[in-house]
Amino acid sequence: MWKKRMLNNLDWPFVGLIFVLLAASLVVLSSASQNIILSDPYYYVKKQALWMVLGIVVAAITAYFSYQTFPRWAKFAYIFMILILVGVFFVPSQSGVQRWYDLGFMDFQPSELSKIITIVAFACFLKKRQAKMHLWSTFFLSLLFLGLPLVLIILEPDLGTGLVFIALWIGMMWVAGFPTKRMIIILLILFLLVGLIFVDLYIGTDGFTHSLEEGDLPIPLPFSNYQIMRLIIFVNPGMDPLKSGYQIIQSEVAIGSGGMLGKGYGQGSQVQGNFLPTHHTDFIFAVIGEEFGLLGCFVFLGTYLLLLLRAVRIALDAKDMLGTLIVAGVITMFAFQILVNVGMTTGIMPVTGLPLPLFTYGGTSMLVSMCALGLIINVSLRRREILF
Amino acid sequence: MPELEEKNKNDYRRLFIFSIAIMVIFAVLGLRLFTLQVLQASAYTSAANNNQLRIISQPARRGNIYDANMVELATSKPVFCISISTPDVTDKKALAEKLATLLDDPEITPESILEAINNNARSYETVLITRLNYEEGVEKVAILEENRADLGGVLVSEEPMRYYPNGSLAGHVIGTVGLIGESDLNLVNEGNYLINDWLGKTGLESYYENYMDENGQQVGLKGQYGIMKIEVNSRNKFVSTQSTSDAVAGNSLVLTLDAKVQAAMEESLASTIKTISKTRPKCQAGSAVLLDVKTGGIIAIASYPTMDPNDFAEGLSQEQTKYYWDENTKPTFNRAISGAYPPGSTFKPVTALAGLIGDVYDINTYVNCCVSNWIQPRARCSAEHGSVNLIKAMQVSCNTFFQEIGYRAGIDLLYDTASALGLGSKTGIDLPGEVSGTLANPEWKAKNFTGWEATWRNYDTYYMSMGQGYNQYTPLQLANYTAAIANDGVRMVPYLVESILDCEGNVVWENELTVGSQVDCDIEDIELVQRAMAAVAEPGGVAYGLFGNYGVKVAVKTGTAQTGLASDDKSKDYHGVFIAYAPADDPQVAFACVIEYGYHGSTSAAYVCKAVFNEYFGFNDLSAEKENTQSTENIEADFAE
Repeated sequence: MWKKRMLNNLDWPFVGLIFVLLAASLVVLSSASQNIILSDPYYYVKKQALWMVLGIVVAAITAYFSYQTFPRWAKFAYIFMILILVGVFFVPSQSGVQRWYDLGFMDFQPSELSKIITIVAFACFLKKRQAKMHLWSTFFLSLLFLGLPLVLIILEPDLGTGLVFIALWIGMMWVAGFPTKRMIIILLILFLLVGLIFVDLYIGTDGFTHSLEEGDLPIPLPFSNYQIMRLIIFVNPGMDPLKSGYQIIQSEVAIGSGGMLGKGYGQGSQVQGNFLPTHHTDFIFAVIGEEFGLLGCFVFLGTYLLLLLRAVRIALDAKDMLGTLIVAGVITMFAFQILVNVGMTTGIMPVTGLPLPLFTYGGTSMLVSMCALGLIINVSLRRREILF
Repeated sequence: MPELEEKNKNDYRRLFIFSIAIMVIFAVLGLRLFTLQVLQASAYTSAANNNQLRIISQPARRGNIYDANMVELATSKPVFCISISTPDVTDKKALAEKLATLLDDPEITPESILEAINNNARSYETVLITRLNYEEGVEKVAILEENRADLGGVLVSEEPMRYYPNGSLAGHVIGTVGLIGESDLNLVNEGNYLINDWLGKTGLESYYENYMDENGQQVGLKGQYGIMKIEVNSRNKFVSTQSTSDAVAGNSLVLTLDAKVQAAMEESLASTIKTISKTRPKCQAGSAVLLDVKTGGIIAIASYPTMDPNDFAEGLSQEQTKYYWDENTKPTFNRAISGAYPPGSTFKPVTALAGLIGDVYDINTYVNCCVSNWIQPRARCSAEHGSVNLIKAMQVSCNTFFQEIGYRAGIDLLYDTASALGLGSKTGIDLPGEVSGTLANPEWKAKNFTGWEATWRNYDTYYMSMGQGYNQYTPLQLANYTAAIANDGVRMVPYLVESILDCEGNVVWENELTVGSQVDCDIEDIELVQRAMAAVAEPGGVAYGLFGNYGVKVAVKTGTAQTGLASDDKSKDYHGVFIAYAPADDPQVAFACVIEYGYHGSTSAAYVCKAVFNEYFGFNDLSAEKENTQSTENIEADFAE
């Protein structure tokens, strides 16, 4: 299973880019978090570094066991995942939200782990049905496959993570060979649905001018009040300048005032003056924007894009369809989270709690991201021998 | 293997489109960043610079509330606010421990301070740790000053805090203030309030918070806070002052209330209820109102159990929370305007007036009150009174007589007369939370019941004539109606605020007297009812013992009202109701009182009336006091039977 010569297959550019991003992450975090605990400015950096070391170990372990053995236990992993997603509803809720298990040393979010398990299990499922991609049964089974965790996570409620599953469905179904016409129709339907939700809210709030009262909506939406509020504030952040609308405005001000070259490392007045809350977690991208400017943002986005395109290369060279699909799933997850998180800090996406992979401070997110990258390395190690 | 190659080609194509999609995502983000950081950079840069401006707000002093003789009922006193400016703190934990030790308050622990600091989402704003009242604060502030060196980031400032010098006196009508809550945040967004501002929550404090006069001018208690714009660096350190606008103090209210009469009313209401509750444990609450017959101005208005607005300004302790939110006694409930009670026999003057308006009887009409006339559906009387006319019937509260008169007048006339006297609708007093009570008629019954119960029956008219059945009125309505009888059928809208003064003492608003409603009747009709009510305190009347030898002539009606609650015992559980006005020959004031489960009005609410009249007419010299203690003994004697 593990052959030493596989190390020769290690994709050094890919691994190198990961380390570049990890290093950059610590640099950004040390500026972003130095004003939080003033007696210990490097508290968060130290903890995050520790999580990174753990993450590297997790990635190595994930890469070690061949992904080709995954189909054997994919089913059990999927069932386990559903169980922990259901189980979290029996944990005492923390301010009305049931997302975490308290493991003593960390708060464990099953929804984060479920992204990884779903990618692997769904890849195994699609691999098996590869010859039947055009069948309606495949279509409906795939909806069920991702719909189950999606509904459970949205109920927690954690809309952001739930949406990752829709992205995963699109990305992985496409790579697996889902008929093009149908994919286009489904994308159109999704756009229409999103449009409908906003038209619904527009009517219910008289053009996003006030918060929602019971019975205002022409069509009731299956979201909790604060989720709907975030959608309203997304369109009109000025309406709620004290809370999440305030965050959006301050984040845009931070990034916008960064200009071309930024205000300099550790010099961002928005961040260092604490005008922008949660600038070391969900809104950490604003720190890059304010202190390193457009240039820094482009370097950040460029590096990440290179990493993901390199991963596409690995998907192409994968030994089999299972490898390709796993890699495609991970790329989809990263790309979607970057879109939503950076989109949120720049005001083109509603506020959700989706972390910026490798950059947002937090243990679960770091371990899960590193595990996902470990999956890609796993596939690359066992790539197709190239024939000359 | 051509098939495999075909497959590979397909995979290539799909992964190619896949990577295009990814590049599009990054391109969208890049484009957005270009817009923000290049095209709109200057706008955002100035916005960021504005963030260096701090707006320091100065709360405005809230207006005072005075009684009619300018006795302070509500005012503001300075308190010390101890707060923390987070960016200036070097070691949170050490500071929290030090501060907790110095403050020496069991409710302020190092943990609670740390929590307050950590929960502050906008760390550039200061975190309030506690408020210290001036007397004990001076000493503690001095201690804090001595330890200045170890308390970097701790700020001490002076702020006005609401204070009620007379404690619970008129607590229900004065009302309470509280800190702005989640539900009031729109007020902050509209710019009229500060995030840590106080807000009138109940009573006059709420009604006159932002009162507008006829020209739309703000004349309320609130005032306008002042603003000082200062420039700070990113560490929140002061750099320069940019501009200031001073706070404008709120306006003060002058009430029609007389604090002395109010105190007498509250004291006797409390002592009467306490005495009765010894033998009747259900008797725990009551309410009374005294108002000016000609103007509607309220001289005293009380509800028991009492509430002290200071408790709410300071924040309720656990014990106080338990007291105020007791489900049975409901001390925050202003019974005078929000509690509706069956009027019992105090309704009989309405029946008498309705009959006279309808010309269905006169002073010479006699009804025979004897057992043979008590046939169902008519209710029985308390005793066989023999042949009685209006005067005698009112004196002894004869059920038989008033059932007959009510029946002759008919429900429509009864309803119209009661309605014209203001019963069953809001009086229009300047207080929030007034209820309208219930004035029943066939339409009301049809709307509120179904089946055979929905039809108005003869017995409904009988019951209504003697104040039982569905009718329920607030103590204020009863007082207001009594005043209307005394005022020859003209009901004035009751009010509490006589005038509003600005902070320099100039009158900026004055109450205009308003006629609420009027009974359409001959003056002889209403004079006859007045005469009958006066007769109740004359020889042969039930109140003769109480007001027979009194300094002024008093017109009275007592009531013993079935509570109408299924859980109560119909033969034992009665509300004691009492209405009166005085002097009977030249009416000045009208009074109403309800004592929950007080049994007879003449042995419960009547004592409150006497105490209030004693104070109002100035009979409270030594002899009157003697009489007061006597009346308490009387109550005890009544229940010893």
